[in-house]
Amino acid sequence: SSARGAEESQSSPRRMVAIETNQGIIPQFFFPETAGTDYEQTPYLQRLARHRKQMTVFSGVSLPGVDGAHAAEKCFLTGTPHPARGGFKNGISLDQYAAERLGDQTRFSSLTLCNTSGNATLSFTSNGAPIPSESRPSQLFQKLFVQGNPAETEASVEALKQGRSLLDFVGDQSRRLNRTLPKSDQQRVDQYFTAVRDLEQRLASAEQWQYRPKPEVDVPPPQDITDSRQFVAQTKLMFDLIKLALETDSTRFISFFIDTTVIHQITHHGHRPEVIDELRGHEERQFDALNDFLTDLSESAEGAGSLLDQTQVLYGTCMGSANSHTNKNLPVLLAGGGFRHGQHLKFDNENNYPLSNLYVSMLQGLGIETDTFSTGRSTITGLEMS
Amino acid sequence: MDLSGLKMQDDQFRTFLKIHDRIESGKMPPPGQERPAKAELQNVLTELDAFLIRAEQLQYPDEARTPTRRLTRVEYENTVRDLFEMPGLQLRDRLPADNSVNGYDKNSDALSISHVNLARYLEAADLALDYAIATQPEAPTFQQHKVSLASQYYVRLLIQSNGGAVFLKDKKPDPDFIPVDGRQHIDQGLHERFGMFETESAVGVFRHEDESFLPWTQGFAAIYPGRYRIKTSLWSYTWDKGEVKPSRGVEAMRLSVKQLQGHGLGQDHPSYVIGYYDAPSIESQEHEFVHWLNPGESIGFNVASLAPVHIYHQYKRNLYSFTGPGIACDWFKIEGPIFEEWPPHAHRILFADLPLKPFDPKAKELSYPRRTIHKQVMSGAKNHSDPFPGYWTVQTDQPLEDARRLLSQFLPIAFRRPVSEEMLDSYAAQVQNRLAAGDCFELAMRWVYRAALCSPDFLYHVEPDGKLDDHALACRLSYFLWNSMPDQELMQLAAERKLSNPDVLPQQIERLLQDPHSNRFVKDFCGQWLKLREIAATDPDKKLYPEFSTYLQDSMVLETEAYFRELIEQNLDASYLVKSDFAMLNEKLAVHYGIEGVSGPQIRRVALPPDHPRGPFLTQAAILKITANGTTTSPVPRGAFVLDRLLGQPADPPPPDVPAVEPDVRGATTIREQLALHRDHVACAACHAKLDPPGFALESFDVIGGQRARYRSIGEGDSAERGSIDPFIHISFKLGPQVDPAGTLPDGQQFQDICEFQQLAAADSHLLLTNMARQFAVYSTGREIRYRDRAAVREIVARVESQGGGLRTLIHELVQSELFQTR
Amino acid sequence: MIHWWRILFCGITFTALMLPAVVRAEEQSSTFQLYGISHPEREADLKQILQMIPAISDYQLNQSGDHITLTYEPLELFAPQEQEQLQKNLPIPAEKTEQKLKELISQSSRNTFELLPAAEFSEEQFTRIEIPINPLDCKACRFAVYSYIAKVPGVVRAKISTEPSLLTAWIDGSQTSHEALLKILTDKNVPLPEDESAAAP
Repeated sequence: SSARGAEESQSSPRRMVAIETNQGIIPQFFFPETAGTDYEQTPYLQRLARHRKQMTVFSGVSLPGVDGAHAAEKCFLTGTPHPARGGFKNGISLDQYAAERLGDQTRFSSLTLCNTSGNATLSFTSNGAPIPSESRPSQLFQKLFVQGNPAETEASVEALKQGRSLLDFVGDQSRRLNRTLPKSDQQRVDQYFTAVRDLEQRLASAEQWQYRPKPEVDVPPPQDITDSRQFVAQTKLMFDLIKLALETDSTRFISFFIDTTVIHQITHHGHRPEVIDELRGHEERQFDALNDFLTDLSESAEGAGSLLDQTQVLYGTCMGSANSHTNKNLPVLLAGGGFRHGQHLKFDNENNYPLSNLYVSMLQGLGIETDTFSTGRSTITGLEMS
Repeated sequence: MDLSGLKMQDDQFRTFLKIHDRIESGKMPPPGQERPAKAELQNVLTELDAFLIRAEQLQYPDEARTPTRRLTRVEYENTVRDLFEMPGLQLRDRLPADNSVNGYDKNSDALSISHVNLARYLEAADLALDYAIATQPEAPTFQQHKVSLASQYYVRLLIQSNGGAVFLKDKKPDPDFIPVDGRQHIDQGLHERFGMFETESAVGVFRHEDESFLPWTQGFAAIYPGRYRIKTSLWSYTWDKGEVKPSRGVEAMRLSVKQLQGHGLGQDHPSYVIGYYDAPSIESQEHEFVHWLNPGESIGFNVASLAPVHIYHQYKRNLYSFTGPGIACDWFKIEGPIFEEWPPHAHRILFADLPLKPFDPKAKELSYPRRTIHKQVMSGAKNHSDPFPGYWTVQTDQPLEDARRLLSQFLPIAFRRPVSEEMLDSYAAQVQNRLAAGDCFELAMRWVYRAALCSPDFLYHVEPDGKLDDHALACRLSYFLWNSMPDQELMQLAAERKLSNPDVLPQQIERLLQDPHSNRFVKDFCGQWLKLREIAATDPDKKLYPEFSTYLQDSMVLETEAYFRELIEQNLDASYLVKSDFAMLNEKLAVHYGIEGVSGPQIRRVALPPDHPRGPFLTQAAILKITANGTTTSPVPRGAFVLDRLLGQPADPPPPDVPAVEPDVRGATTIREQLALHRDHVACAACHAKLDPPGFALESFDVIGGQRARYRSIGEGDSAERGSIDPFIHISFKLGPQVDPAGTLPDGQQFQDICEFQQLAAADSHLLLTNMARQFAVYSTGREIRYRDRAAVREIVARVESQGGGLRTLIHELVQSELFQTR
Repeated sequence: MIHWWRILFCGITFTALMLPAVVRAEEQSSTFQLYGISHPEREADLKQILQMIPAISDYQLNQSGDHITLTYEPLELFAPQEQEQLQKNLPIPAEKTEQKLKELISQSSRNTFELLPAAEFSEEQFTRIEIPINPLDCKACRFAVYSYIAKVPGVVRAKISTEPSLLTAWIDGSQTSHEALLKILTDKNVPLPEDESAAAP
C-alpha cells in the first residue's frame, strides 16, 4: 500500500504489537504437551495452524510475583510484582520502554488501544501512570489518516505552540514553588517538572508532524461497535487499523488491551460443561481473529519479507486459569519479529520461568541494548533471532 | 540488646514490628511456653519501641509527615466544580486513573504525575473554561417542555408492537391506542404519522432495561450547560389481562443522566444514576429536583423494581393474557437552563463585571476566540437552540489594570491561599505578552487561567512545614469532609486566622458535616475504605443468582453510605461496625434480607429485633458482594477484608507459589472442604488461623449478600424454594451442601454462627475505634500511619472513649489533634 | 389503454351562489378526489386538519367519502411574502392554488390525507370485492390497511368497515384482482381470518 514514513532508515524498521486478552484462556485447549518443533496441535493452536512456522508457543511461564488475579491485568506488559498489595506502584510497560527509546521516528511514538473504554490500558509511563487508551476506531482512524484543512492545521500548530509556551510558564511556576519546599518535597514537584518537559517534547514533535501530510489509505473510515458483547468484532476492527498503522509507519509500538470483562461471569465456569462450551466458543473466535490478523501481516510485503517478519506480535493473558484466577502458567505466544519460530518452548509448570525474560529478548530484537527489563534478568532460553 | 545504628530494610522493620506487637498483645511467647517476668517483658518492649522509632527516623529522615501531593482526580473534579459553581461538570473520567496505596488514592505515594496527566489537565481546563466563559449578553432562553416516555422510538415500539408498554388514560387502558393483543399494531411509521404517540396519556412500562432496550426521554436533550428543573409524575399498577388494578406497593423508577454520543444515540446506559423515585399504587406522585446537565445529556429512566419480563416471549405479545406489575409515568417536565444571574458565577469569577461587547470575528488586527454554535444533537427533541446571538466578548479599555485586578481575585481562590506579589506579577506579565502577541482580552486572560488550572499551585496541596497555618488547615478540613476546596466562609476564617481557634474549629466541623457537600466525603471515603468503588467489578452468575439486579446493587451502595452517615450523625460507637440494632434499608434490601414492613425505594432507618445479624458493615450486601467473585464465596478474601478494613489487623500477603483453589459449583464439595486441605499446609496454617474465622462466619451469606443455610448449586442438589424471589424470575439453581458458619478465633474463643461472631467482634470496641481512627487519619492526611504515630492515635482514641466513643466525636478529636494539624 | 374515469369537475368554479353561508368576495371552491377517509371516524380527523388551514372556510364531503369540495380564499393559502407577489397578477392561476391546497393538506396531516384530481365514477363499472380482516380496534391500524390498498393501480375506491370487519374495494379487473390485494395484505402482515390467509397465493 501507500506512503511510508518519509525518512525511513536503510534497514526496515522493527515493530511491536503487544496484546492481552484479560479474562484468561482455557489452558487445556491452548497448551500442547510435547515440547519443541513437533508439538501436537491443540484446539486453539489448530486455528493458528497456518502460522505455525511464524510463531512460538510458551508454557510454564509467568511474571514473577505478579499475582492478585484480575489485578494482574495491568501488569501484563510491566511485570511489576504484587499489584493487589497495599503500596503497589506500577512500572513502565514494555511498549513504552521501547517507544521511549525508538519512538521518535514516527508520527506517533506509540499507540495505546483498547476495545472498550479509555480506562482499560496496558501501557504505563516510567512512573507508573496509566496511559489512557484509544477505544473508538473511528477516532483512531481520524487521528492516523484524516488530514485537516490548512486552516485547521494552522490552528493546531498555534494550539501546540501555545501549549508549549504555557508549559514553559507552569514549569517556571513549579521551580518557584520548589524554592519554598523542603528537600524531600522538591522531588515530588520535580516530578511535575519532568512531566512538563516530557509533554513539551511531545508537543514539539507533534508540531513538526503537523507540517507533514498524513498517509493516505484507500479504505473507508470504520464504524464503531459499542456493544461490548461483540468484543471479537471490536477486536477485528482494531486489528485492521493496527495493520494500517504499521503499513503506513505511523507508529511502531502498539499495545492492545482486549477487554472481555463482559464474559467474566462465565469464566468462573465452576467446571460446568455447558459453560465451558460457551466460553470456548468465544475464545475460538478470538483466535480466529488473531489468525486473520497474522495472515494480513504476513501477506503485506515489506523489504525482502513481510510486515510480520518485521513485527513482533505478543499475544497472551494474565490468568493461567480464569476459573481459579491463578496468575501462573500463562498462555502466551509470540509471532513474527524475525525470531526463529515454529516451536513450543516448554518450561516448568510447577516452578515457572519468568515471562519477563521474553520481554528482554523482544527488546533486544528491536535493537535495544539491554539485559534487563522489569523482573527479567536475561533473554529467554531457547528463542533466537533468525 | 543494642540495636542502635542498625538501618533496616522494609521487611526487617516489619519483622521487628511484628515481634513488638506480639509481645505487647501477649501472643509471644506462645501459650504453654515459659514466660519471662512481666517487668522483663516491659523492658524489652520499651527498648523495642525506642528502637523502632529510631529506625523509622533513619528510614524517613524527612520531618514532614505528609509529602506534597497533587489532587486526586475526584478532588480535582470537585474543586473545579466548586470554583466555577458548575456542579455536574464531568471531568474525572477525562483524567487518567489514580493509583492507590493501601486502598486510598489520597495517599501521597499514590499520586504520581506524568506527561499523560498533564496533557489531560490541559484538556480539562479547556473544557471548564469553555463552559465558564459567557459568550452572549443575555442568558439562553429559559424553556419549558413537557415530554412523554413515548418520545423515545424504542418505547413506541413496545407500545405499538411487543406489549412492553401501554398508553394509559384516566388510569385505564387508552381506548385510542389499545394494548397489543397477540398481534402488533400494523405499521409503526403510519401510527407516527397519525400522531398516535402524541397523546397526553400516561405511559405504563412493563419492560425492564436490558441489552436491547435502553430507555431515555428522546423529547429533550440539554443544549446549554446549566441547571435544569426536572419534574415527573409517577405511579404504579397491576396489569390484569387488560385491566388496571392497584399495585403490590410502592414501585421504583430509576432516573439517570444519559450522555448522548456522536449522532445523538447513547453509548453505555446510564451515564450515571440520579436516584430512585417512588411510584405509589394508582395515585400519581410528583417529583421535582434541580440538576446540572451538560450539552447532549438527556434523562434516562428504568422501571427498576420490576423483574425483567419479556412480554413478547412469554405472553406472545398479548397483554390480554398477561398479569403483572407496571410503572406509569404521566409526564416529564424539563425546565431550563436556570441562571439566577447572567453572566453566571463561573464567568464572574474570571471576568467580574466587565461588559460583553460585540466583536468582528474576521478582524485582522486582533485574535478573537472561536465560538461554538450550540445545536440540538438529538432528533425528536422538543427543545431547540436560540438563534445565534452574534459574536460577543468581554472588553476593557485598561486591560493590564483589569488583568491584575481579576488575577488578584481569582488566583487566591483557585490556589486556596494568599498569593505573593511575585506570583501575581508573573501571571500579569503573561497577559501582557499575549496582548502584545495580538490576543484580544478574553484570549489573553484565558491563557493565564488555563495556565493557573494546570499549575502546581492549583494541582497540588501546598502546605507549610510543621504546623499547618489556617489556610492549610482550611484545605485539609474541607478536602476531608467535602473532598473539595474550602468555601468562602472557611477562607475568610483562615484569612482572619480564626479557624484554628478552639471555639471556631468545632463549629466549622459541624457545619461541614451538616452541609450536603459532606456526601462527597461519605461516598469517597466508603468507596475506598470499604472498596465500594468495586461494587460492579463482578457480575453475579445469572443462573445461580437470577434475582440479582442493578437496582439491588445500587441499593447495596446506598445502604452502606447511609449507614455510615447515620453512624456519624448519631455519633454511634465503633462496635456498630460489626453489630447493630438497626439497619438502613429500602424495600429492595429489606426483601433481600427477609425483613418485613419496608415499602418503596427510599432508604430509611429500620429497627431490628435483638440478635439480628443485619445492619452493620460486616453483614451488608455491598461488602458481601465485593468480597465474592460473582459465582462463589471464599472465606479467605472475606476474612482478609474484615481483618484489614474493619478490625485494622491486616494479614500478611500469601506466600508465593501457593496453588489456587479451583472452584467447583457442580455441587460436590464446599469451599470449606477445599480450604481444609489448604490449612493443613504448615506454611499456611498460622495466617489462616487468623484469616479464616471471620470468613467462616460470613459463609452464611452468598455472593449477593443473601442469607443462606445451604450453598446454591448448578447440577447436583435439591430443588430450591422461591422464598422472596420475584414470581417472574425463573429459579435456575439447586440447593447443595449445608453451610457451616462455625469457627474458632486464634485466642480459642468459639462461635457457632454469624451472630455469635458479631458478639465476639463487637466486644473489642477499642480495636474497632482504633481502626477507624487510623482509617480517618490516613484518608484525611494523605499518608500512612507510621509506628511513631501510634502514640498520637492512642491519645485520640482515649479522648474519644472518654466522651462515649462516638464516631463524630472521633472526627472532631482527629481534626483537633496535632496529628491532623501538622504536615 | 382506456381511461376509466370521466372528469366531472375540472378547474375552478365560482361557487359563491352555491353556499348559503357568509361568503367573502374572493372565495373559490374546488373539488378533488380525497385519499384518507378509510372509515367514518376519519371524518373527525379531517375536520381537525382543515381547521388548521385558516384559508379554508368550508368543505363538503360526498356520500362515499372519496371526494371533497373545498371552499377557500386563494390568496390566504400563501405565506404573506408570497401574497405580495401574487397580488400583482390576480387571479391566481388555478394550478397554483390547487397545488398549494394539496401541499397544505398533505403537510398538516403528515400525508394521511391527500388531494388527487377529481374523478368520480359510477360503481357499476367496477368490481366490488370484500376481504374479511380480523377486527382492528385501532383507527391507525384501520387506516394502515386502507393505505396499503387505496393507492394500488386499479383500485378506484377502498373503505374499511368494523362490523363486520371488512375491507371493501372497487377495482378495475384489468389492472388488479382479489388475489393480488390479498397478497399485499398478507405481505404486510395484516391479520386475516385463517381461511382467508390460506386463500392467499
